[in-house]
Amino acid sequence: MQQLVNVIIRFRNGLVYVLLISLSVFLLQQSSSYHRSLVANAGLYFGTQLNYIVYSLSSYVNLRKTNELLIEENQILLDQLLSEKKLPSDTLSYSTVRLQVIRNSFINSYNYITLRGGKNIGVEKEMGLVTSKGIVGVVQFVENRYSQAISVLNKDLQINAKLKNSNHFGSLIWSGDNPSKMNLIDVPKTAVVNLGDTIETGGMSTIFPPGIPIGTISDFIDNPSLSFYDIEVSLFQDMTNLGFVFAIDHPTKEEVKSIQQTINE
Amino acid sequence: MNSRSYPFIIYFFLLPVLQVMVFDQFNLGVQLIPQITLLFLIFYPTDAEQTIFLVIAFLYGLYSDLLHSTMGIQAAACVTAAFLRPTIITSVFGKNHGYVNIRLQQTPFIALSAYSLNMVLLHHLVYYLLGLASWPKTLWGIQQFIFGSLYTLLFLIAIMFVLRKNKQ
Repeated sequence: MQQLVNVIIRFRNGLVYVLLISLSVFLLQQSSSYHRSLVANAGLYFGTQLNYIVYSLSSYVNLRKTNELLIEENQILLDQLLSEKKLPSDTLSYSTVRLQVIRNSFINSYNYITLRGGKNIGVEKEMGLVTSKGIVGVVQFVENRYSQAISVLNKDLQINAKLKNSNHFGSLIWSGDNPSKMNLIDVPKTAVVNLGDTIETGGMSTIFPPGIPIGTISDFIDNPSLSFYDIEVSLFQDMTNLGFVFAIDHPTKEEVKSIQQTINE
Repeated sequence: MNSRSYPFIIYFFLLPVLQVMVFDQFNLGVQLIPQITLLFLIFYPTDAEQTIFLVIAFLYGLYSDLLHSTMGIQAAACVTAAFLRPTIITSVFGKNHGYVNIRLQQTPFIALSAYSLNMVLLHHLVYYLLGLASWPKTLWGIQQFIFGSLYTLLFLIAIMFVLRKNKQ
């Protein structure tokens, strides 16, 4: 026993190292949403205050760019409003909430966006985030005045997407290297795929409504041994430059969820 | 804990905050940021108890992880750099110099740079290995590791150079 204690004391640094590295890898690898949310919530609490200071300081410098972005977005919204007036409004109306991006990470494999605006203005979990150019992410945690979203540049996120000129669906994922490119997988070979074709949201979930533009096809792999395409999509939205985003509230979210729950039961 | 360790309590909290507020803005794309938080591990007193240093390095990495939402990557990288720091010190400064504290003013700048390079390489190796963890992207990962390490080293040397000049 004494010898065992002596060995432990002698190699304590090595043992402590093995223990701590195992703990780190466990933290990294564990995929339980409960543990992730615990850590992410703690990070949200400290991170938002810190990032708001950075945002406040940098907002003066970026004022001109923000103004241009606002004008551009206003113009697009006005265009949409005018075109809606001409059409019979028989479609569902989605409501949106405007949020300020105070931190947007794109330097890791698992990126998040911190937003100013939370429960106080009606932000809820699982709201889709868009800009005038395309999709940005999905709200994951909501506090009273702040919220955190999982960015589309996150290897954990899969978004239902489709080809604009047909109804062939696939999953949009990020491979973790280039912030301007994503990959559309699981698109069957029966689809006609051309370079430059537009990809948009598929609308098979309550997160994003169908038809929101995502990007264009910049490359695709037609592997004869596989029955699906691997398509590279060039995003419309520059994910390294986000100012304001809009959170979309699905009008019949609760109904869809309750139906899905009934089916599962 | 000796009196030389006290300022490191402030550095422990301050450096990751500085990293997020200032140095993250110098990113050159995905995974390429100057990680100046390593200054803490480089200058932490070498005569301090190694076991305690390992735990402190782990907590320091975890704190950086919390601020970056990276979940354990920094913790693993920091604890590895801390674990192998005595070996690096012995290999760079020699056995006799092994446990003399590394000071910005007294330690020769070339030796300090060589020591920092080793610490950066070790930290970044674990950081990119765990951060990417994908075989198809091995070549890209190696590229990121090399450029990331050089970018961090450039900033560390610049900071050390400026602080050294100021103190003189």
